[in-house]
Amino acid sequence: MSSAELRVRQRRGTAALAGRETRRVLSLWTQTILPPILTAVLFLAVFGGALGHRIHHVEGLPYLTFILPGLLVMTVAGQSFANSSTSLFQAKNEGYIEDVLTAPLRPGQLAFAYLAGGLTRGLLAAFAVALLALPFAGEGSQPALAVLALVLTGLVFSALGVITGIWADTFDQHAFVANIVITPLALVGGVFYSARTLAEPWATLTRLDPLYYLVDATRGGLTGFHQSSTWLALGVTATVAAAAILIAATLVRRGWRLKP
Amino acid sequence: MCEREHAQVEQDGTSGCEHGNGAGAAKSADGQQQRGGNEERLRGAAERAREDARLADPRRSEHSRDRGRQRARHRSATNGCACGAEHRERRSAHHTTEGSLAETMTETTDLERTSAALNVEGLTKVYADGTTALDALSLRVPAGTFFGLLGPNGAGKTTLIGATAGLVRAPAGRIFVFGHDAAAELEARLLVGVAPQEVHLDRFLSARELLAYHGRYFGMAKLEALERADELLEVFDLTGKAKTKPNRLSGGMRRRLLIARALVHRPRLVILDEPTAGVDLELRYELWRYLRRLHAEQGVTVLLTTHYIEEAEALCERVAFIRAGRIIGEGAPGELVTRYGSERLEDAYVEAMRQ
Repeated sequence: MSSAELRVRQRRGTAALAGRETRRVLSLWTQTILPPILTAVLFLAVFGGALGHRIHHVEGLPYLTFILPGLLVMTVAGQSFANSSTSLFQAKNEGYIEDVLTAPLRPGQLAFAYLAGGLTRGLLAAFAVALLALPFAGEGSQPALAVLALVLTGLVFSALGVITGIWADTFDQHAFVANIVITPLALVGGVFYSARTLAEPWATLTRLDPLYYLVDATRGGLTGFHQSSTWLALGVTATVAAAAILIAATLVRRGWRLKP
Repeated sequence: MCEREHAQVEQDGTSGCEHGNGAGAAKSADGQQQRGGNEERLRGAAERAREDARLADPRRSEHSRDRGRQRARHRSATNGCACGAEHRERRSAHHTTEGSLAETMTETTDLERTSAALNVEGLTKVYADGTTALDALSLRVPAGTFFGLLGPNGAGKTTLIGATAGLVRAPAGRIFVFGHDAAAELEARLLVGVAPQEVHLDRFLSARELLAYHGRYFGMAKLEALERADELLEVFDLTGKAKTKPNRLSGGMRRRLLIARALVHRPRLVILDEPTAGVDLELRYELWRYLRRLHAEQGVTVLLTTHYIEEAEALCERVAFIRAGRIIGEGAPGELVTRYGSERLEDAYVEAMRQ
């Protein structure tokens, strides 16, 4: 078999695995797509309906308009991470990952396929939330920038999900990363407040959170308001995404915690 | 919802919605259906036993094995084998000179001497806990043979299979599959089909999808993979369960599906890790029948690990004894019996393990 033919087969295999992951997301939509939509709607109802009339404007923006970009980033981050980590963890825990590990796929292709599932889930959920929240959205100055920030968010957190799925041997370990790392990152990422209004050390803590820059970039794209250098934030995020994907692929190549 | 709950819900989601409460009933229904099928199978049991005896007859076996070898050699010639250019050259010469069958047989016999489906050289694997699973193990499985690997639990059989299929991390030594380095060349993976000892099947997919996705992971086009899935479902009497998810299949059906999965991408070396462990006698004979057909009709090299000596005697042309990660004896069953001064392979095995 020529190397060109092998590459064709590998591409087909990667597409098939990515398709299997996407199919899983869609077939389990009540668990993968619906919950984040409900959560976002509740956030909008609570902060818009119950508290919105008390907080009129933040940084010159209506409060709902201010928080919507952050909600989208939170949705993409949480769902991308959950999908990659859960799917890989289940495959490993239940043993059927051997079907994939015996296939002639390169480690990077394996990682990419799992990453694609996470990205699909994160972006689908964010798209649904955005549709529902459209009436509250500001006049987007650079929507493409917002989309780019959301895609980068999905890549970073899908890759973190792949790493977590490989690392976790138990449900406790799997839940640990989500509860101790992902949730706090989302909550201190400047979704619900402006970092300028915070006292120290919270302002610094917020600025140390990578999600803060993604929220800020998305907000910049959707509302025109941002507090940090958007392109710098996107550049740093792209670098983090590349590093996370590389780490994930390296772990797959080494078979760390995947093979005895 | 915490991620643990989330993961649990996602896990339970399919098993709960599709398999959870209904699983017992489904299994029961499967059981009834299987029992219905069992009557038919039992009626044919005597006939199959006769067939088994006939196939086990050395003369008959040799005949079918020859046919298998011929097909294996033909596959090597048509699919492009490890010897590459040399073989193609020979094939070309063969076609242009209209060589006789005798010439062909001579050529391929020479080829057979120098080729191996699996060549393991000094393979060592020490697990993280210090257990030495393989200890400089060397083994050669000739192309086209039905090869048995016999050994007690913990002897290293599954580790050897895992190392061949890429399921074991960084063993020392080398493994060649039809001449391809199993560690360095991903192409080697295309040549191997593995049915592991434990039945682990993707529960998100139906039986048909499961086979088709496996084929696609190995690079088959979607349509081709679906056609191949249908073909194998028929061969393994699972057509009626094509849309059923693995969790709702009986144990025997899952075992057959697992073997079918190993065959989807048309591997030239099929490795079956204790395929009949824990299955009832009837299913065992049924699997034997499938395996004989696979070997005789398609010329596939089969490496079978088993605890059952009678299984090795009934199926295998060559057998290796493995103990403590090393091959301690290898040959045709008759040779091993003679070598260990025994009357039966079972005695030879016991003697080999005792030494």
